[in-house]
Amino acid sequence: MKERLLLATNLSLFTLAALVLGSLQTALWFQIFGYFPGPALWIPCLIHVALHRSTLEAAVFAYLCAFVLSTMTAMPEGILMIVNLALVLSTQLFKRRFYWESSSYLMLTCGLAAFLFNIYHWAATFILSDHPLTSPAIMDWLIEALLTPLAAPPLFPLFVWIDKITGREPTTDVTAHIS
Amino acid sequence: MNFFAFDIRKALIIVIVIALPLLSINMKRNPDEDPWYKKPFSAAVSLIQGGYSTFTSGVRGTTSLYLKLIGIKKANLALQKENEELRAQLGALTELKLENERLTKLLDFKRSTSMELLAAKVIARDLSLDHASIRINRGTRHGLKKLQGVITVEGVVGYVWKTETDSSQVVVLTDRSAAIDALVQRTRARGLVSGKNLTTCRLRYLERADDVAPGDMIVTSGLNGYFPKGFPIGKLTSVRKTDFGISQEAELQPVVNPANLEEVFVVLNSGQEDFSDRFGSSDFGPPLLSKANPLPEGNGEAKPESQDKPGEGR
Repeated sequence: MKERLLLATNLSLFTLAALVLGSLQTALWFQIFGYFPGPALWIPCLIHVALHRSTLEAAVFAYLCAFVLSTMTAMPEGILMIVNLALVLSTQLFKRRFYWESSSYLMLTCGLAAFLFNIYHWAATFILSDHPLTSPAIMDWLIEALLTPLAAPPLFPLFVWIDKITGREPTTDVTAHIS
Repeated sequence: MNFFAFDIRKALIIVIVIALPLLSINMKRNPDEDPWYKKPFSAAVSLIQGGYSTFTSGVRGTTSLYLKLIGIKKANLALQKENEELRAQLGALTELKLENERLTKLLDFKRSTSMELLAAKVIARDLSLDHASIRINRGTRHGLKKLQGVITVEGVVGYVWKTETDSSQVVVLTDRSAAIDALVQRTRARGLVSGKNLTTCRLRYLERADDVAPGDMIVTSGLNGYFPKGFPIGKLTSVRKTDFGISQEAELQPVVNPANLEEVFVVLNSGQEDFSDRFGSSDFGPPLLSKANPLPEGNGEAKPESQDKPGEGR
C-alpha cells in the first residue's frame, strides 16, 4: 500500500514538474524572447522517467504528461499521447543499445528527444490528423533540439530529489553523476 | 739660505689662489658673451639642467596624470552608472510610449465601433513549434465563450478555442486546424481560411469558377456572427487551379503578424457590424495593408495573367 502511495506521489510530482516547466517554456520564455524557439523544458522530465522506470510506468507518465501539456497547445491530446509514448519507447530502446554513465548521455538523449518529438509529431499528423503538417519549421526544430540539452543538466538534480523523497531510487546511477 | 725660513713655493701658491678671484673681478670682459673657457661648462650645465627639467616635468606630469586618472576612473564609474540608469529609464519610457500608442490605437478602435469588445493581453504561446495558438488573460469570468472571434485593429487573429476561468486558449488563423469563413472582397467568392505554416494561410473550398487573383483582399463573411462582416483577414499571394477537380486553392498572407501579438480584442458581440464600406478608408484601415501592402488600383482588380499557374507566387 505504501509502495503504491509513493509511486502515485512520485508520478504526481513529476507531472507537476512537467506542468511547471511547460508553463515556463510557453509563458516565461515567450515574455523574454517572444516567438523565438526555446528549449522544450518538459522533455528532460519525460526522459528522466523513461530512463529510470519500467516501460509501463514510463508509458503511464507519458500519458499523464500529454494530459497536462495538452492545455498549452493546439495539438490534439491523442496525438500528443502517441508522440510521448513513441518518445518513451525510443528512449528505452536507445538506452538498451547505447548507454554510458555521464551527464553528456543525458544531454544527448534530451537533444535527440526534442528533435524526435517534432519528427514523430510530423509523422503522426500525416497518419492521424485531418490537417497534416506540410510545411514543417525544421530550423525551429533544430534550435529547440540544440537548446534543450543546455537546459537539462540543472533540472536533473531536481528529478533525483523527487525520486529520493518518494523512495524511488533510480535503477541506474546516471543522474548521480550530475548531482 | 732661506732667510725667513718658509716655503716660497707654498707662499706663491697662496698668492695665486688669492689673486685669481681678484684678477677675475678686475678683468675687463664682454657682458654679452661668456669667455671661451666657460662655454663648454655652460653648454654642459644647460644640457644637464634641461635634462633635469624634462625629467621633473615628466614625473610631475605622470604623477598629475595618475592622480587625475584616479579621479577620472571614479567619475567614469559614476557616469557609467548614471548612463545605465538613464538607459534603463529611457528603455522603460520607450516601452511605455509604445504601449501607450498601441493602447490608444486599440481604444480609438473600440470607440469607433459598435461591437462589444474585450481587450486581452497575450500571456503565453503554444508548447509545440508546429502549432499556432496563444493564451490570453481573459476567461469565462470575463464573459468569454468558445469560438468567439479574436481580432486586432489590423485584422483577424483567430478565435477562442478553450476557456478557463481566468484565461483562454486562442487558435491563431495560421494554425493548421483553424477554420474561418471568408469572402474575397472584390468578387464575394466564399471560402474557408486555415493555416498553412506559421506565417501563411490557405483559402480552401473556393469554387473552380470563382474569380480570384493574387492581390485580392480576403475578409470575414460575418455569417457565423463571431466576427464582424468585412473585417480583413489577409491578402492573396497565389492561386492554384489544377487541371481537374471542382475547387481551387489559394494562399494568403495574413494582415496580422502572429509573431507580434501583444494585445488583442475578443469580439463578445459583433453587433452585426459591417466593415465592408469602412475598410481601407483613412479613419480606419489596417496599417499593414494601407502602407506596407497598398491595395492594387481599383480595389484589388484581378490580374488574369497570374491565374491558373500552379505554385505561383511563393
